[in-house]
Amino acid sequence: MKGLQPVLETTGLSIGYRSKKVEKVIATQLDLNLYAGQLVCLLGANGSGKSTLMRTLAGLQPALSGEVMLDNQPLTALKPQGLATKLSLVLTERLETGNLTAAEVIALGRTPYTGWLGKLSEKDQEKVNEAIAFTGTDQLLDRHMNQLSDGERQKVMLARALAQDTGVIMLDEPTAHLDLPSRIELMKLLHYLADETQKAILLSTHELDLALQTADQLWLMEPGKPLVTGVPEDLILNGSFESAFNKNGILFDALSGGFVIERQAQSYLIDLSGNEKQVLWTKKAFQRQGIRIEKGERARFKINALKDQLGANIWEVIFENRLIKLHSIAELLHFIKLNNEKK
Amino acid sequence: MTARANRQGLLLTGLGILTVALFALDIMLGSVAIPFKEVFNIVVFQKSENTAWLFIVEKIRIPKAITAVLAGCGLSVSGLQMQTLFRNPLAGPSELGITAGAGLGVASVMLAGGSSAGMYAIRELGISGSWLVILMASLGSALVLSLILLIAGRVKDNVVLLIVGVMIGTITLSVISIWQYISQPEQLQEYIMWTFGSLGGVTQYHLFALAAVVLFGLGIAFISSKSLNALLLGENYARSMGLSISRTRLLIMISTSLLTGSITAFCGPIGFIGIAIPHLTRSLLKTSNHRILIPATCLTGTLLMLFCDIVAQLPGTESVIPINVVTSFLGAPVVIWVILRSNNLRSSFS
Repeated sequence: MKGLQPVLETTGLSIGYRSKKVEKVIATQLDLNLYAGQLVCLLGANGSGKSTLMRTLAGLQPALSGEVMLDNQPLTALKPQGLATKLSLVLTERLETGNLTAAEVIALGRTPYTGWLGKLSEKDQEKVNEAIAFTGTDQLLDRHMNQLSDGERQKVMLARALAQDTGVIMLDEPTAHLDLPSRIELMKLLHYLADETQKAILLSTHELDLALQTADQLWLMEPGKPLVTGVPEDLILNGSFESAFNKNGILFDALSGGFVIERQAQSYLIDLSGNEKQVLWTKKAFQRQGIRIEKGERARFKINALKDQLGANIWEVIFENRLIKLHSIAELLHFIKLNNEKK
Repeated sequence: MTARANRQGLLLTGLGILTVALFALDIMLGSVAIPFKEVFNIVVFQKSENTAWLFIVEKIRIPKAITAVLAGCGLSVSGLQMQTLFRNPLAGPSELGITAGAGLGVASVMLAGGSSAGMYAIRELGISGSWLVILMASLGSALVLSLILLIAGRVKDNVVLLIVGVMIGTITLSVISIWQYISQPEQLQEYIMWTFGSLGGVTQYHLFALAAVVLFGLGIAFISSKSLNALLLGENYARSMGLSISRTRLLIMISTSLLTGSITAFCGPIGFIGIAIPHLTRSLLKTSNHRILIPATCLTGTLLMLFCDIVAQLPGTESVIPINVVTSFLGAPVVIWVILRSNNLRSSFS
């Protein structure tokens, strides 16, 4: 990244709230850079100050001290209209504008550019069409906002931000109300957009798995600790990720890149081998059930996962010199628990 | 897209034709029966064998019909702006106490001005007198509106804001009541007649002043239509799209105060048009786009006001009922319908 000019840059930024007498500082000494073409995910537990940081960077809330530079201009020196041509937002708040069509909402993105009546010029229409094509919202245009699903509505709001044609797009928890497929779709789309349009996209999210898979950069926020930035894999390797998210009973597994729920586990002498996919999911089931695999000289359960001639999954268990064929993980779990208690 | 636009165009044309028809009907009907042919002659050629008829049509019926048009446009557009500004389906000039504020302004002129400042005295003052009433009524409206705006910043709940508005209206009305209590009986009678509401009290001179102020207010509203559209997404989105919230608020406030103030000053407090018409128009045209909504609410507002005026004449009889009674009869059910249709008013803004 050296030699490249960041689109958004903060130096010595302190964020928080200031009332008449009290100053509530949420984070200090933030030196952050946002580069064109990057998808950056801001991660942090609830109450770590993600929203405050987003609001401050978007100019919705004043900084306590320090400076935010947008396109080499101080944020505070930009007029609302000028700011609107450089930075666009997608917010968490639910819209209550049932009677607007998706097309009308997307066209509102051109507000900073249109004349006093808000009529779209040819260039405006071109930008709107571009935004529609990128987000694949062409089927939704005629529908009213209250007829759209949460995922569709979020895509329309993103199209509106794209139509605003800004170098930076910020999204505050865009995946919050969405179901899993829509979440994945939206993150994929954002990743693609950052790459394709060379915009800098910053989003706050709780989706750790998705962020790990799509983000070019992560910003990790923890209350009372300095903000950590870096490429996801680096943050995993140097332990920042674990320290930010490990809580009682929840562990970040640096090998799988996912979270595991810690259980009071009991050790069993198990030898597990066979078909890779079956072995993986069998292990996951064991983990959930608190069965810890302990490899020993003499395994009590010798399990071989394989497929039979018809392609169905089977588990062959050798237990007390007998061979038992089981046909599902449920049967396997039941078998292990039953026979372990016997002894 | 085009199918929708066509449907809207067709609807607007139909409403336009209906409005012209009702305007003509409003001029033809009245407590004095004048043959339709004569009315036509008077309107087109400005002459009639019966000078009394000529006077009635030219000096009373035509100004009254024009007043109905102005009041219908002004009140409904100010209601529309308030609903968008407060993001509250129950906002309207009479509901949030803005009309009461205008009433306070009118009372300050009528009751405080001493015995010579009755409405007739003001009318005799001609243009300058009407400007004074308009000014005071608009200031009264602006006072209440800014108070409500201040409170709306803290209260997010639609129903709570409505209750606060009603309370502020009540306070304003009780201030007026105290004023009435210490006033002379002759002044009181004038004021009470004013509270019934009437489209007929506007003479040609005043009509000029009223029309100028209403057109100015409508002009500001139309210029704000782009900002109003952005406000539909909420203040945060509007700001992120480059809108100056404080300037937009000021413009909407000026427009709403002028419209409500001037109309209330001359026609008395006319209820329910301001809250009901925007809802009817939205559900008719199925849009929230203010570039279409503002002209469309003008049309539907005019239409309903003319209709109310015709009903108030009680065609075929010689008596007239106050316009305020008619608008309440027609408007209140619409408000009930809005409340019932949106089960949860906190989240349904449409």
